[in-house]
Amino acid sequence: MKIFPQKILKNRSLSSGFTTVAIVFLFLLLGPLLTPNNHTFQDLSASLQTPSVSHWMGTDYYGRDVFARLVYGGRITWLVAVISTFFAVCIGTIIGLFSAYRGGWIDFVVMRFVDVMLAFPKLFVVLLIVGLGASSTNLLIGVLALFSWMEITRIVRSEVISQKNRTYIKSARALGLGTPRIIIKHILPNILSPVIVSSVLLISTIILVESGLSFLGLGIQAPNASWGSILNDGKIDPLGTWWLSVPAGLLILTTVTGFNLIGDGLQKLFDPRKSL
Amino acid sequence: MILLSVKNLSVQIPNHDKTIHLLKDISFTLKRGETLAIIGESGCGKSTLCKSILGLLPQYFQTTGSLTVYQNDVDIQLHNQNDPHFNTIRGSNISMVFQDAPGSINPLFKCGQQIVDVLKEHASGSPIQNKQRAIQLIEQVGLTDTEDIFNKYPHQLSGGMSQRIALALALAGNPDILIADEPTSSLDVTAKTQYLDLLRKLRAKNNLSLILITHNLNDALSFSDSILIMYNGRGIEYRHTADLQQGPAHPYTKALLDIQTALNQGRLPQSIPGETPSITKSIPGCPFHPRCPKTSDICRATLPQPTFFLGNHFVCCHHPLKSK
Amino acid sequence: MNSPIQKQPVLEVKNLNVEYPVNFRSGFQRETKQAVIDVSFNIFPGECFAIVGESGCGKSSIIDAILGFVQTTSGTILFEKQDLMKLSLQRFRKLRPKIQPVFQDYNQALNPRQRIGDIFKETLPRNLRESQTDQLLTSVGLSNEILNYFPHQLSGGQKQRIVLARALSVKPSLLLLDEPVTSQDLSVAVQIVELLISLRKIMPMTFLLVSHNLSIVQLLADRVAVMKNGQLLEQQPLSTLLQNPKHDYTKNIISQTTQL
Repeated sequence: MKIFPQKILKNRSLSSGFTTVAIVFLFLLLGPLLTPNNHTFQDLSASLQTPSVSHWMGTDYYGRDVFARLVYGGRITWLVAVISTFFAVCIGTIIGLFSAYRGGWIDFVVMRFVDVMLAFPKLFVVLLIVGLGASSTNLLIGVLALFSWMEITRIVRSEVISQKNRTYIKSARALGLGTPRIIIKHILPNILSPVIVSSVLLISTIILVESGLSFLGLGIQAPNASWGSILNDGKIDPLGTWWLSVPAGLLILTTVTGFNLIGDGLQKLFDPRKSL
Repeated sequence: MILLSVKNLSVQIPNHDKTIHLLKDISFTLKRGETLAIIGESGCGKSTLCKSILGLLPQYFQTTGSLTVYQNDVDIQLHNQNDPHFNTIRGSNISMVFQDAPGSINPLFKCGQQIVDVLKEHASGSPIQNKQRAIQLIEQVGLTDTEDIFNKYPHQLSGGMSQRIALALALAGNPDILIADEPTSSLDVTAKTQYLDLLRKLRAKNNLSLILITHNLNDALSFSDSILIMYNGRGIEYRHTADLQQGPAHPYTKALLDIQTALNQGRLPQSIPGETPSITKSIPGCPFHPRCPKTSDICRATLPQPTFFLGNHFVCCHHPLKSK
Repeated sequence: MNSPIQKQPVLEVKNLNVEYPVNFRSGFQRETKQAVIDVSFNIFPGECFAIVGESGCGKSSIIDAILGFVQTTSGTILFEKQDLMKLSLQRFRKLRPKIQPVFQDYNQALNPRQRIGDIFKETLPRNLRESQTDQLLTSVGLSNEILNYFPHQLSGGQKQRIVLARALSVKPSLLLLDEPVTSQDLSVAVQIVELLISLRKIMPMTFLLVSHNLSIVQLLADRVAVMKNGQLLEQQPLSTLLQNPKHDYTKNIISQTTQL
């Protein structure tokens, strides 16, 4: 265990990724302490102001403080991404584990279902929900999770299949251990590495998807903010109202890059190529 | 005529608090037409030794000592694992058949194509000549249906066949020295006998020098001219096979010979107490002392230096069973 | 060697056939390969019954069939008078601890993420755990400190001993040894063989030993069957087989094994 912190420090992807994500995280955490402004308070008289002392990042069309919106919007973006990823990974792992271990026709049916889900027009569902006026943050989380679990299932399944016929699993079966125990205590710990890496990368994917949907007006709805919706505000005159488009865009870019670097670094960390 | 000379070869992996010593002061020579068997148990460094002879160790491994190869009437000194001379030596001078022979063949290309690729590298022939030579090689390693196998992928061959293809690949460059790393450890008796007969034939036909890595004493004794016994990264005995068989000098060698003889005669052998030490543990004094029936105080404290027999043969023991 | 006690056989195999599908083409045509062809033998309590044959002759398939890891079979396997193939999944699972395998590949036989101590937490009841773990480790020649290690920290010999201890912890009536020492170094192989011999002396143990190495089989077996291409050529007590082999193939194996 002594080598552990050294490994992380030497792993440049991991350390730079962590740092990046940590900085954005601190920004989101401490943001409200830095500005007294409310992110939903509209002051039409102060609309579209450039950055100033009272409004660090200026104001948008409704006079709302952009800095505060970046902070709270960021929180929502992150929350949505982390929670949907969590659910997607849970669903995907459970389905992948049992389907792959069982094998046979159960596996066949489940994988065809995965194929259907992957081919499903996701945007259509989102449009439908928004069109019906039923959109909410929780529903958005649900939809994002619903369309992301398949990737995890595929990864879990291929890992389980490679472990399933190993001698230690055969031995566990021969000892008379029950299937749930074998799957949870023997197979799961040995497939965690690629699942963890995929989960981290899934977070950044979902951030991009959610930002895209919010940019189109289909994701996070007003009065709540999200980096994507702030970008949406800035789209009319992106260069003129640069304080609307550039900071939000940079935050998305930085966060996604940060998580990707972590995922990359974790992959290197877990790489079994530790040969003498 | 000495084709390969290894003197005090040491390999270590530098690691800030503890360097791992994989090989310590290995010395031996190989003459033309000579077969050397290197015997040792898991973790003694045999594979590391083979790879160091071909410059296949990772870059961060440190090597000291001297490695000299005789090529084209010239002695070439190889200074470290990155020495550019290795490029001219590999395949054409020294070649290797790896332990996992089927795994050492590229699964994406047909067998014949891979042999031709080696020939393109080391011989100057037209494509037709190369193909003919490749088919000749496939025949030489004892396979029939040569055209058929030429066009097959490795996964379409059985384990035994892919092992022979690996041999053909190694011989394609027409090397003087062939290193075979545990070629028969996964084979059963019949397959093993066939493979060793094949090696004998090839050895005679091409006047090959062989380095055979094995932990099977029967094979080593029946097949080799000289034997190097390795333990915990060191060479502890290096003798002519006949001499060693008649009078092993190191207690470890004797114990192994006794085990093999007992097994051959159907008796229960006497086991060697204790465990083979891992390469990461450093043992003071003689590495074998915790398990040796002849251990004394000096064995526990001091590393035994080589006691030489004729030429460069030696034993490293404070109480050798035989000394010239 | 202990001579077989003439009681009810622990294992009765009758006309066993095992097929593997080869080249599964989507659709209904399947080529199959016959790995085991009409094999019959009995194993009596306390004896070591060995099957000798080359790689690929089908001996490992017999073990897979007994353990229920292959599905396409015909014939009967009776363990302590129960037909293994007719048992419900639940009842078969209850019976599993009594038939324990020791596989050839000791490197992969232990869960790489599980500490040795946790293995015994899984197989032993809580109240007797400590004392029985100590007993088991002693019987395979290992000390307590190994309980904290992960498999990759153990040597090959130690791994094989743990595999054996794990199998013994569930109190089996039959041990299936599939090439137990083939991939081991010579000195380690001898130690494992010594261990197996001493275990037979301490506790009542029935072995099915499968190997291509006749010199190892000689040290352990009471009766030996010779297998080739899926079929048993002959079955004899060990001494009879060595002195009067019936088949040429057997004579071949014997002559190739004893050299020098």
